[in-house]
Amino acid sequence: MEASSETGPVRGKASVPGRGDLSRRFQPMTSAVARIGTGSAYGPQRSRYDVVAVGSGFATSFFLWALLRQAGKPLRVLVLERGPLVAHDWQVRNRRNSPVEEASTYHHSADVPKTWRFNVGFGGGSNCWTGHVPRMLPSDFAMASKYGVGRDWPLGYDDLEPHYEMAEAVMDVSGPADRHPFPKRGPYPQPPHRLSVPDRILQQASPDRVFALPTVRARAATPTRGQCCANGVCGICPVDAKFTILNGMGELYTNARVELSCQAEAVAIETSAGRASAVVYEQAGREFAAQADLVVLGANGIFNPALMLRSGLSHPMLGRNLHEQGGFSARVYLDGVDNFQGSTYETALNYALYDGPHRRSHAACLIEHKNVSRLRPEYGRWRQVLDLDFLVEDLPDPRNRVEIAPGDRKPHVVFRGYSEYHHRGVAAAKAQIARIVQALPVERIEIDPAPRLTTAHLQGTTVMGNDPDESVVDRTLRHHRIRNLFVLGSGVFPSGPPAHPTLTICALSLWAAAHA
Amino acid sequence: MPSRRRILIAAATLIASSAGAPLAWRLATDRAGAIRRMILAHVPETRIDAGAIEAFAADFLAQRALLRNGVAIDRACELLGVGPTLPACVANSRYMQRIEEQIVDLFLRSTDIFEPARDASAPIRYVGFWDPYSRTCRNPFAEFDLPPG
Repeated sequence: MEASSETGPVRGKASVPGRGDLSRRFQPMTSAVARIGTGSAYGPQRSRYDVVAVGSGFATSFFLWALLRQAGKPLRVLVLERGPLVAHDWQVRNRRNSPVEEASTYHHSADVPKTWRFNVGFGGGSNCWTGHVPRMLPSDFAMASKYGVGRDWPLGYDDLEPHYEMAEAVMDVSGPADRHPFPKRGPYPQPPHRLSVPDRILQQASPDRVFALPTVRARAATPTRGQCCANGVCGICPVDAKFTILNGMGELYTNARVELSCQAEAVAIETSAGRASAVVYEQAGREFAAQADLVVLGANGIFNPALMLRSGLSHPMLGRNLHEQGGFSARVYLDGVDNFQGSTYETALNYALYDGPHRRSHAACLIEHKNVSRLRPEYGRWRQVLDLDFLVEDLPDPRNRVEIAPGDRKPHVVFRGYSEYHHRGVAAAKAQIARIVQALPVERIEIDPAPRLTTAHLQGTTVMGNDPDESVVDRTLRHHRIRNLFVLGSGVFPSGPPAHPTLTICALSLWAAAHA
Repeated sequence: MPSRRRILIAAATLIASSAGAPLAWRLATDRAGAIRRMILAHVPETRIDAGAIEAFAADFLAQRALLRNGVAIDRACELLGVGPTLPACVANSRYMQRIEEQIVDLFLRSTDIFEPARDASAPIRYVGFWDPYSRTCRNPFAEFDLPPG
């Protein structure tokens, strides 16, 4: 992003064909962006937009993409991104997604070993994610009514299904051609990745449990992404094979109607007469206010509630129920069967422990089959091993929360621990591994005793619901009181199923935009 | 007064030697030697070309500033070089086992052992430090040319 001699927010504009390639137009930023303009003695310098959005990750990007497609008139949009715009080659060269360490952006206290993983920079989590995009199951939306635990979502699978289809099309998802663990109308845009030999053996034994993993790691190269060649370092794909906002939605941010302002931190939402009127933000040490008819928050489950709390938009549920899946890993040593013949990092999902009556008593679990992992350290048997990752859902707990303190810009994240429901799910999963893999010639199974510190899925702090007293946003992700304020992302999730949340985040954004 | 670091080194060396530590590492500053011992614990020396391990060890230690993601190279180097992490290292042999496996994995991927046309009777040669970020699409096992699924 180049400093401009114009007044007003630093703008990033480019006109490129096709999807747009932001990385060729903007220099990667590692220093503060110069702010041009004199400001005002009467408060922050003000500018006017139709839409002001905070954050530039999946939630905001898919919302704006849909909003601009359906808008009957040209909209002037400002996107405020706290972090820098980091080019893909910078990430590969430096082996990191951003010069900003996410842990430096918040205070953390936890009663158990825990970290929270996200990315501060243009594109948000799309830079650091692995690219798994399974849908949630219909049961996931109705945990309370079906299993007597947790909360029901205020919408159902059928409401989101067309938006799942659209999100999969936008991201060119590779997925199974015929069978799915969830209802699906149309085919995936790309064929599935090649399964490994252990995948196929387990799938043959349990065809209704094991499926090719839906992923945005390209099976076939696209105009903006390389073909996945199973390098196994998906957090920073060196061949840019996974979908990111940077390689997949450049066209949105090079749209003449959209102004992207990076290294611009939103500090408050101004409200007037029950409506959001402006977003106040800081950039290069100066304060500005972007007035808007519509305000959209897509800054993740920590910073969305923090911003709202600082803005006086308090609510008993705001910042509460922070959660994400927990999990663990296991290594299955095989006798005479080689692994690693698949065509991507992780190749299959195993639903053996996911849905069912057991969810009345303990958490569901989704199992990932790894195709790229460390070799077995035994001469000549290097590949006779199968590593499994287990994602176990958690029930939201209001003690796990995001708070703010006066005079401190950094939010405070408090985590007291996972629920007993989750721990029972972990124990049940560990007890059933041998049964799940019994179709394989198993020598032994080693379970990693250390739980995963994070699954990089921030959820629950701006919960959606039909009751304004029990939820922050309604079923269309619109704030119950401030009706021109949308709060996006997995912070709205009333429950945390084992399925990876990104596709649902995108589908919810498309759903919300359709109701904007 | 000996430094805390020297005391830790001496104590750990004593513990390891007296306990007959099952892992082939030495608690000393000989990092390359420790890497060599780790590899030879899993790959017969007679199958390895002369100088291959040394070349790998040199590149491994030179790369550690870059390899931050996915592999605990920095921690491995800390442990190999000894330091404040020593007490945890002694107490957590499973962690060291994982480090050792990762080093062996890196070594093997940095050789020609998995090349399809390789003469199986020939010594394993070092072909260059395996780095998926700079030498991409070198996964020797993944297959892409068969029908999906």
